[in-house]
Amino acid sequence: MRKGFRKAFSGGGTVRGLYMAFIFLFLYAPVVVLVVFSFNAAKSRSVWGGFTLEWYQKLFTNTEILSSLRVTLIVALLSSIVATLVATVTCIGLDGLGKRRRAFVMNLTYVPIVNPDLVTGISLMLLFVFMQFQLGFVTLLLAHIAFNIPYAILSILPKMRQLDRNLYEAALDLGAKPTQAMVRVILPEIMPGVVTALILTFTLSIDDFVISYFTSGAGVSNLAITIYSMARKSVNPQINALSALMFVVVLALLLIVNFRSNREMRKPKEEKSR
Amino acid sequence: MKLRWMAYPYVLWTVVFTIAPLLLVAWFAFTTMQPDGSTVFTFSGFEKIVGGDRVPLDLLGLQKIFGITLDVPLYLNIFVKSLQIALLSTLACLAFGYPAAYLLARRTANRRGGTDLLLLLFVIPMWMNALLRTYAWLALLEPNGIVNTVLSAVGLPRGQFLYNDFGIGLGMVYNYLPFMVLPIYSVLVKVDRSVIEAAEDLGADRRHVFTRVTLPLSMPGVMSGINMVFMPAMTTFLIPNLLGGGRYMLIGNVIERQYMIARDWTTASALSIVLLVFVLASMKFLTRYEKGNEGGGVLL
Amino acid sequence: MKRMRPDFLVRVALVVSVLAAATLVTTSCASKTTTIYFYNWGEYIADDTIAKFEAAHPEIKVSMKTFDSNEALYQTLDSSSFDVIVPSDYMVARLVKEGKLYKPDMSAIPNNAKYNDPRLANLVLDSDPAVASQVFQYAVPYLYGTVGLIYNTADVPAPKSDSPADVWAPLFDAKYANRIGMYDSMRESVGVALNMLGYSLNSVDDAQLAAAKALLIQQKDTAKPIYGIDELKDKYVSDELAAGVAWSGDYVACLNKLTDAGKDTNQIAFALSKGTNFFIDFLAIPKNAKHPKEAQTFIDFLCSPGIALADSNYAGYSTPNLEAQKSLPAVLRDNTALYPTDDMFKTFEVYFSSDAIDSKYSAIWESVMAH
Repeated sequence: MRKGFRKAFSGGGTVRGLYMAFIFLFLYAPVVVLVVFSFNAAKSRSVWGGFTLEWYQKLFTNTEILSSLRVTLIVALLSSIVATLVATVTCIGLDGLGKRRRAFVMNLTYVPIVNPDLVTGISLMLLFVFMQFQLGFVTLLLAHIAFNIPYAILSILPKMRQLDRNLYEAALDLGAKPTQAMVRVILPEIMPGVVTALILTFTLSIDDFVISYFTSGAGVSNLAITIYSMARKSVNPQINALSALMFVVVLALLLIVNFRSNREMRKPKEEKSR
Repeated sequence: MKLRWMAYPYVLWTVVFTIAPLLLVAWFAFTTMQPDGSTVFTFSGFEKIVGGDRVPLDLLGLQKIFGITLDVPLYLNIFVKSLQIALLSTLACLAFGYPAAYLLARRTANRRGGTDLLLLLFVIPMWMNALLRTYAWLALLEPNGIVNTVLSAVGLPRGQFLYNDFGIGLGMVYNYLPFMVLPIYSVLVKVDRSVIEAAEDLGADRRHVFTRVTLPLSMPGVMSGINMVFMPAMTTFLIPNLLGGGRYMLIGNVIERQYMIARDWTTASALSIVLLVFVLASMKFLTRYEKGNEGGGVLL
Repeated sequence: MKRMRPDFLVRVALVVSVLAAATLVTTSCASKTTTIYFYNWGEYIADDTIAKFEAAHPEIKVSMKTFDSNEALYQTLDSSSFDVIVPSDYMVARLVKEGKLYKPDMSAIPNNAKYNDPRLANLVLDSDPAVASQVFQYAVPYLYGTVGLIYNTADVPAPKSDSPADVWAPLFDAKYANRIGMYDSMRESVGVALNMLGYSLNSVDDAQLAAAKALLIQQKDTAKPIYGIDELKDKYVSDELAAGVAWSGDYVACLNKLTDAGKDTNQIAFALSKGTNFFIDFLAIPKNAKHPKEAQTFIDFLCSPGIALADSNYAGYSTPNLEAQKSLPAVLRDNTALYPTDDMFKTFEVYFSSDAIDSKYSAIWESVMAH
């Protein structure tokens, strides 16, 4: 079986190799340039002037960057937790809804996902301005919760669908209180979805620029906004240093997650049921 | 389970944070603030889109190559220009991305499990902030940048790579390529191998297996890839702002400037409505096509 | 998706809640001091000024955010609350007119009267004398500057005279296509076109404005300028751009960059045209400021000679602080493009602000940018 597939996909090996090399050169050339020039002694992004660690030192004392990093993390943490909580509760509720109502709610859920970020950003900005909210930390947080909830729901809902509805009833029959049944029976079953939702919404929040740009006002900036305004000023190798650090962090996280899941996959597949 | 009440707070939330904001965009598009602070109904936003200055349509070299001058409203021209570069970038993503997805899927098929390192390597740059990835191209492409330095070092003429269609298109392809590759990849890895074997057993050669079996089966991935590239490409304002030298305007830039700099919210909202309707319509069109292809039913 | 072990989930939950608690604690701790929000131009204050202020006044923290045009500043004033802003002259006049500024207690800002150049107060800063006379009661001069032609001496010949047509000519020359820098700022760009055509920088005459717009569109088509603000400076230094319109401070910044890079400072020169713009950037307190008292303390600190000198050196703009001027390097103090003579003062034009100017100039500029 495998052989047949391999045969179907086979072709000139060198061409394939060259092609993939080209794609990876394209993907990594900018990253490599960013990282290499983070050690550049000259204040230039394309002319080399010797090795230095100056930009990393400056980065760690740059209050603008550090405070926006803090804003980014706090917003990501709070918005992912709130969005996941709301989504969990909603998904449990959705299960009890009739088909038509459920479809209606799901359509509502898809609206922010299919909306371009630009429109989501400006529409939320208009909402806050209309309600006379001052744009700042709170509006930024609300906006992040708003765009995160649909993604959290879509992460949890599949787990909810796999859930055996009789489990909850059985728990009640066996004398569990509704809250107990919820926490002890339903929650553990949908937990993988909840964790996915947390991770996904956290990364979405960290990565967002467009919606934050329109909803953060002038008093507060997250990392993306700070980078954006830095990128439009003079050449500043601190941006490179920041990129290099972010790249290393992402790389490490992905490798760890990947290593973990690979190891788990190699284990014999004995599902512990509880 | 009688827990349906738990879904209701969320319904209220979406009404406030999804429906109301969109209605507000429409409301702002049709109203304008009078000097005395009162709001009145107006079509001025939409009138500005179809009125105002007229410029020669800048479509696929219509004017430069064929010498046809077709004067259209300024904003319509920008809209056409945005559509053009978004479509070209989507095509480029497809052209470069499909073989990559194909080769990655092939590697995965030949593995025994676990994640392919190459696939991981492909995904990693995507995890870096889009701003930083785009910014990085400045160093490479600017007039005194690395590419030009290398070109002149080997005796080739320097090129103007930034602030034009090439630079913006490249920025889009770079940012959105994974959005094309990953959906195609995920469809291709799920292709039932026995279908390919069956085709081979029935005497199809490699080319036929690809054009008659693999390619049609991967169409849903292609369609969702097109969707995921075209949408952000059509609405971006970040890429032109970073790579456009301030003189390259797409519809996203016009909307952003009208909201944030000129503060003409009526025109900005009218433009947003037009853009939103256009994007949703094209998405509807794409997903319809996608469904039409699912008839084969070989897919998971 | 694989099944997760509950103990792992418990740990995740623990870590998350500890992190959340930690962030809440740190944020509530921070609220014991007063934080004032400072809305400033990009690269317009010395790196250590805020740190010095916070050291001298430990009870006040300064959070700075930057804007890159007066219009951007104006548009964010209603939706955000700042304590200290840095509007230019015409914007101060407009804000005074609209009642959007807090009237500071000048006795809490003694350094202003003590050190700042009294000549500035004689400038007429608005078409309406009643408004013009109030500007200096609401705002304190921070830095001032001029608008001129910055050019690379190796590529562009020095202007033959100070007539606008001579000075601005390179900006409209297709010979320098892709190598021209223009500000993405409506007053400067429309102003250059108006000055070039011999009109007032505050013209509201439709025919004159149409001519200016046509000139700017033609420039975009033929000279293909780069439009930006802060990112332009590096492009003059690296020789990517041959000429452009520049504020005097950006010219000084370019000189500093040349010196830092070990290049010859004569590579870049700066020329003023007759009738060009002179501007003062003021420190002011918006009416919706949450901490006006602390804002006054901060403004007074910025007016002390040592700080004014450091900020002027950093930003490249001219300091109105007479005491600080004494410590300037001679190359700057003796350059009349930076510290103009009394005679030059007479030819300069200050921008005025009015609804007509704002709407007409904005429409022109957005249209040019969309072309």
